[in-house]
Amino acid sequence: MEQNGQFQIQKVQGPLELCDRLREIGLVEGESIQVTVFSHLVQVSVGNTSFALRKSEFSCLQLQKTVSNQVPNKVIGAQ
Amino acid sequence: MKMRTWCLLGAPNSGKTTLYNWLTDSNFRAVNYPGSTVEYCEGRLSEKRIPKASAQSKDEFIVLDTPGTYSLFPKSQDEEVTLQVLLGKKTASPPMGLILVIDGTQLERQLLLLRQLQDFGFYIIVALTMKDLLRRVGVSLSPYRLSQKLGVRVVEVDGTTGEGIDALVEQMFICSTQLDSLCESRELQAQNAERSRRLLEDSNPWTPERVHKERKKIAEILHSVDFDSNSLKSLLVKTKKMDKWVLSENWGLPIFFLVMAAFFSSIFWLAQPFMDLVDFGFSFVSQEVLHFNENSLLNQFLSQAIVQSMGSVFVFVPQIFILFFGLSALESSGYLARAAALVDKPFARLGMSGRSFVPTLSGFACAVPAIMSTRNIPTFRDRLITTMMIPLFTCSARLPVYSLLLLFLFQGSALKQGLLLAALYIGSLLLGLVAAAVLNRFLPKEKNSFFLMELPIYRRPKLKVSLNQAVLRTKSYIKRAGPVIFVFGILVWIGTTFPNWQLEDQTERLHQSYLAQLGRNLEPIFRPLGVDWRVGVGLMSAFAAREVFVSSLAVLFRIGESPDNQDGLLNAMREATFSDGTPVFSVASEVALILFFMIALQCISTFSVNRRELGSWKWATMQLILFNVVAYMVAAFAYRIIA
Repeated sequence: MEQNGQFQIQKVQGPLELCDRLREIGLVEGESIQVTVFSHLVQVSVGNTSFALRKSEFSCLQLQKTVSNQVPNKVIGAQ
Repeated sequence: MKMRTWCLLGAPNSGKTTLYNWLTDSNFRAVNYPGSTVEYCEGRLSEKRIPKASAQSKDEFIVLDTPGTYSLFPKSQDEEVTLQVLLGKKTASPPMGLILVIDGTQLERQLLLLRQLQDFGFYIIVALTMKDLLRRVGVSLSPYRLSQKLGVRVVEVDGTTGEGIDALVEQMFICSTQLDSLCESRELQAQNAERSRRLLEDSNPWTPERVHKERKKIAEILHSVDFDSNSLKSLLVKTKKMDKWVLSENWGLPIFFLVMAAFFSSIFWLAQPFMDLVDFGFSFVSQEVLHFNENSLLNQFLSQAIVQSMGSVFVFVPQIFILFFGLSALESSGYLARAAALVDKPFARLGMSGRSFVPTLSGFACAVPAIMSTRNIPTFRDRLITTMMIPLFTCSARLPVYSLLLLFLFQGSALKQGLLLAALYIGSLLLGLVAAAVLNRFLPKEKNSFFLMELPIYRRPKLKVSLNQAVLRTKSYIKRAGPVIFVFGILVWIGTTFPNWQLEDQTERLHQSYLAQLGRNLEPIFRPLGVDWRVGVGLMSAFAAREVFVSSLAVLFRIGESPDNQDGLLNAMREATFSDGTPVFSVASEVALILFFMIALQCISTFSVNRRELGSWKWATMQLILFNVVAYMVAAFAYRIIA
């Protein structure tokens, strides 16, 4: 289940090549990201840039919510 | 004389091509879309950039531009090209040094590539781009301090004004002198060999732990030079606001269709006044040449073979200019990356990804660069499907053909012509998608491809840049199509004039000509499409270049007509009949011709680029035969149904 908000990446896990690429673009463990979920894709903002990811790619990021006005401390993504 | 090669590399959309243009005085297309460069290119350092102190030197400086890459471990074909250039596998020898182009607003992420390059022992100068954006948000960066911390030379450059380019060249000269002695040493050769071995190893030595450690170091370095990345976040505010609309489920697709419809329909209505002007100019010249001496063979040759045939195609240049102008404006706006993200889901159902969108859109200008741009699609299967569907899109060469046929069908109604042209563009897109769906069904499945698209910040397209790009690409179109039209104009005229060129009745002369004899023998092949031998000759000549169809018709149908204006050809087409008196051009035959041109693969350049990009004759030959056979059958079927 995906939701909008500010998250911290806890773990990057999935196919090796994809994980390598995610890390290369800055989506690494410990990084803070802003997530905006659309019906067909997820926009992930890291630092001062953003990426469009498929939900399947996004699920490689195991996240911890850092700023929340909905459900606190919910881990989303691959579980 | 020494040859010194410097290679530009960096992350996608970091400004490499802009820098390359400044350094080599070139005019390559630099766009606001990650992954626009898919092949390396080589240029000589512009003479005006050579520092005064080195002006006497006869040494040659070569600059290489490479496709963008996030790391030294390629994940797509274009990134593979970059690695091969770095290792000297594409050029005579490895580059002497590298100019790592880093987007100044993305330092935290893009410095990782610098750390990798340093790890593999490359000689590097860092060029920091996007100075204008840094200035806009009030971020100042000391290249000197950064240079000290990173252990490489750092130069700040401004891609829009060219500020800092001379300083960069100066650094290249200083480094080259220092590296000269090293280049000849055996030590360097051994170092290059070791580097190749390490980089071509199967395992990636940059483990997640290593990446994590290096990113920490980068953050420390940036902190120590007082680089405040938080103030850069304001750059994203406007972009994020716009993305909420542009990427949203409710508004994203309507906005996408609106942008595309406005773009494609403007090609017709915006160009009309300019087309009338060009038409008037060519008709005037043709008329004047013929009136000078109507019985002179030379005057007939000049008027009919040269002026009329060229004019019949160049009248469509304004449309082609508008097509390229619109494409350029879209490319520089940053919208294309969003459009690619939007269409990813429907494309994924057809076995492709959003990465196929930009090659698809480029296919509406020309299939050749579009097929080349499929290189940034990571998997062969996705690339194959995209490559197979691109030739079905309405490229600029089809535009003159469609315009003529639509003018015939809806003379006097620009609105109907415009709407039908837009429908033809959409139709060709649907046709391509059907082809993709068929291929997706029958091709063996591969591993899942991933889609990950960087969304650059929105930029207002610069009128001057877009105009400049449109002029360059239109010129290149004219250069490519012009000679073919010229040669075929002459050939068709000779074929329709001889052997009985002395006959005064030009219609009789045409009917006794060599081409008429050949055409009549081949007429049974074209008759199922509802057309006569003259259109058949036009269709055959279109295999040289699609536009030649129009110029061939101009010569074949206007013989004996007064070349007063473009209506002359349309009237001649309207009056053309078979021997039994039935018209050659009817709604049924026009539809059949349009369908034939929509599907047929008549472009030899497309065939050869397909063969090269897919690495085998099999797919290219199959595409050539299949598309043309299907085009013929569909056109014949449509004619039979409608007639």
